[in-house]
Amino acid sequence: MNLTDLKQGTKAIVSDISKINDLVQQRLIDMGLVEGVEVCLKRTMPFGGPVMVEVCGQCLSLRRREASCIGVR
Amino acid sequence: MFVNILIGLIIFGYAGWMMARHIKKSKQGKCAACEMNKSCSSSCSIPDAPTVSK
Amino acid sequence: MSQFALFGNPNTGKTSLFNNLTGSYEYVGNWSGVTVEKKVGKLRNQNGLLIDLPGVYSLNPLSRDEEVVTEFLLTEEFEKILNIVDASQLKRNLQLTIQLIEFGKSLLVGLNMIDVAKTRGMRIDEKKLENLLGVSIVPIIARSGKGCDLLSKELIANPKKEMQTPVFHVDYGFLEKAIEQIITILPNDSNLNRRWMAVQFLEGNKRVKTYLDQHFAHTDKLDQMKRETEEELVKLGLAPSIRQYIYNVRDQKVTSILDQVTTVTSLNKTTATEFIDRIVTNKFLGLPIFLAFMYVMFMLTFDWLGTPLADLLDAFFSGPLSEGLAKGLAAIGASSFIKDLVLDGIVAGVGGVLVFVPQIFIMFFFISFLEDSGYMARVAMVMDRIMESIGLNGKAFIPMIIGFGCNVPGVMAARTIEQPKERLLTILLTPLMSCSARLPVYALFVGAFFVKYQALVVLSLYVLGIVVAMIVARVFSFLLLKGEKSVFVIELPPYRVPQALTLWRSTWEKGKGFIRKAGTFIFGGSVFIWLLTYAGPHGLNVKMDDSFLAMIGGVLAPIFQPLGFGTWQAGASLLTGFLAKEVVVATMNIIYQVPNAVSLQGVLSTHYSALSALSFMAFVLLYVPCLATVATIRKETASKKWTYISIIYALIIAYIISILIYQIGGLFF
Ligand SMILES: Nc1nc2c(ncn2[C@@H]2O[C@H](COP(=O)(O)OP(=O)(O)OP(=O)(O)O)[C@@H](O)[C@H]2O)c(=O)[nH]1
Ligand SMILES: [Mg+2]
Repeated sequence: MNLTDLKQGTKAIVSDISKINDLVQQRLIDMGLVEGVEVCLKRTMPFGGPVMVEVCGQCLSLRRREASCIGVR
Repeated sequence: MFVNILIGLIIFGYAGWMMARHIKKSKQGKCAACEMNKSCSSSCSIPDAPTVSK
Repeated sequence: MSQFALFGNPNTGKTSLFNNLTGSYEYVGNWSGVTVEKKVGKLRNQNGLLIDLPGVYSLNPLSRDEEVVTEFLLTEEFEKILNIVDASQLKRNLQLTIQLIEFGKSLLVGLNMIDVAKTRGMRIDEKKLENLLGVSIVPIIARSGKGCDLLSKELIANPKKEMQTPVFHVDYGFLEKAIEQIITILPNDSNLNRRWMAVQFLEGNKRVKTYLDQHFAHTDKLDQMKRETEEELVKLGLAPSIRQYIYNVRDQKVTSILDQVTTVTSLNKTTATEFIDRIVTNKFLGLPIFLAFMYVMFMLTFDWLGTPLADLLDAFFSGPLSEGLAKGLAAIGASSFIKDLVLDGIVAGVGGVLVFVPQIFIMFFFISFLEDSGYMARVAMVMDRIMESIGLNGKAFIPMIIGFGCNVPGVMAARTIEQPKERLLTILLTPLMSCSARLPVYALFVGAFFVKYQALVVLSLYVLGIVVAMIVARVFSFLLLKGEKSVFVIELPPYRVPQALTLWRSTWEKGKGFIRKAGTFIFGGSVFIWLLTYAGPHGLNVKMDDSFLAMIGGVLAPIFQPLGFGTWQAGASLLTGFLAKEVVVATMNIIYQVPNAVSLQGVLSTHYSALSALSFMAFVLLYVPCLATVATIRKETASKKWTYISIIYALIIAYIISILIYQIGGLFF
């Protein structure tokens, strides 16, 4: 399952971020979105726009394409 | 007559100085306002900035 | 003089503290990446310099503003690191603190935002944290200034002190062998900490790698070692990469520290932020809300508040001020030359620009509000889908909004964009954003031709700027961005109610520049423009149409004929506008020789039609960036070619758009 499969407002544990491109991956690691942390999918923007997630009490936004490369369980 | 010359000189002097200063400052971009502009080596930007070109 | 440098994650309050300790008013805002360059200030009452730097998540730079920080760390002399840490986000912030401690310089931690941490129900035992990290920690609230005195005392207490034998040490386990090896290979001559270099190199720090390449011959050996280590690490299944491994080790360390020092009493949900987000980032309402915000801003700037105030100011300049000056000049026996110079030149030019101060301030107030509330990052998110379709990302919208205030900081703000070509493109587009210096031109013309729809017309000009920028972006990105993948990751900070004082200050700091410019450069410009209207090939005090300015403007007039404003007056004012766009209005005031804005508007209606006025405003919006912006573009792109392109393409587009407006509009009206 990946991050974009989550229902809005539900939480899951990140299991894999290795498939994202290097630059985005490093940014996500910097912001604390790493394997093993809890994420919550807050909102998705219309027309395939970015998603908003919460990690460690901090909201961030990333593109849906990258979000769909993040495995969760 | 003397007053006229004096006022004229002041106004034109000030105007000329301000124009010169503005153009000099604008040309330098942002660093002119910085306190360290004389000693600063990186001049607020990154040396060997790779020029992006097609 | 000793120098202290501020390091910390983005949006943790470094600049707030900097302003507090140095008494300056640098740019503060509630999103990541406000500060994009190095700023230096003198500490309030001691001798010492404080250096503000952009925020970084780690020392490995991904974008230009982050490069500034690593560059500073590697190449510049300073005494002490002042690390600002967000108490409500300790887990993430301490990752950077660890890297800074490893750097080996003496370090002081400012534990900021303790008010936020408190409302979230977090208690932090600073003394214990101090002991565990082996560095001094001072809790502060940078926003209100609480604890800042103590911090500055601590800062200069014993400046020369190098870090004593560090209490704090991270054991990288499996990597230690490789680290040891690298340390033995590295030369001992540089004053940088070799263990730090080794760790950063293994982590993949680009800047440290270039540093090593420059200062050291055997880098291929290092590269090979890194590769082998990484392979082994992956084979052992410890982590997918060295970077992640190092992150995990540090994270474990941080977690174990936090377990000892923090107590969370109540899990206080940040309900306000969540509630606001539910509305402003709503699927359907997000974009309309942003547009509504802009609309209210323009209604206040023009119809509701700004114009009435400007009229009062105008009445003062043309009435009591001019009369007083005229009397004064007569009393001291000034000649008619001086009288004309002062009244027709300076008062007309400078006053003609100054009357628009109310509008400018209202506009800046709204921009400051946008910046300080936390809405900025949301706008970037809401806009990302649209920006993606033109080959950019939502973050590029932030420089554009800043550009509404002034294009120069807008161009600088593009530094936060990671991909080089996307950044270049953003730099080229930002000058199309209508900066405040163009506002007087609009105010003048809408006051004359569109009295009932002032706000709407100006709003549509701003939107025109954005739309043109998007089309241009589409074209450029087609030509330019091939093969580069656009990325978008942005942090969304919690909303903060902007403080009245901060809001006023940042409004004032922006608006001050406008007033100062009126007193200096526009003053100078007015004098010279007046002189050019006063003198002609046939002597002094000529008729305006025989003046030098008419000659110069006349050369350009035919070019503008198809756009609807082929007069020497229009040509002359546009020409002077390259130096600074406000001068367009100053020039017009002088040329049309009228005592105030109201009567200028009367005169204008004989030279322009509503349609040619619209075409003129669009031209002013789009034609060449001002001199200061051009210089900044030159610096930021480090390329002559792109600087010229930015000027030329703007001219071409301005011409095309204006001709379209005038010719197509002419078919209907
Ligand atoms: N509640 C609270 N807010 C603070 C405090 N310190 C700063 N802020 C707010 O945090 C936001 C960010 O402040 P800045 O000083 O611009 O942060 P910065 O670290 O310079 O940010 P960058 O330049 O982007 O790295 C602003 O909206 C400040 O008003 C604090 O102690 N408490
Ligand atoms: Mg800052």
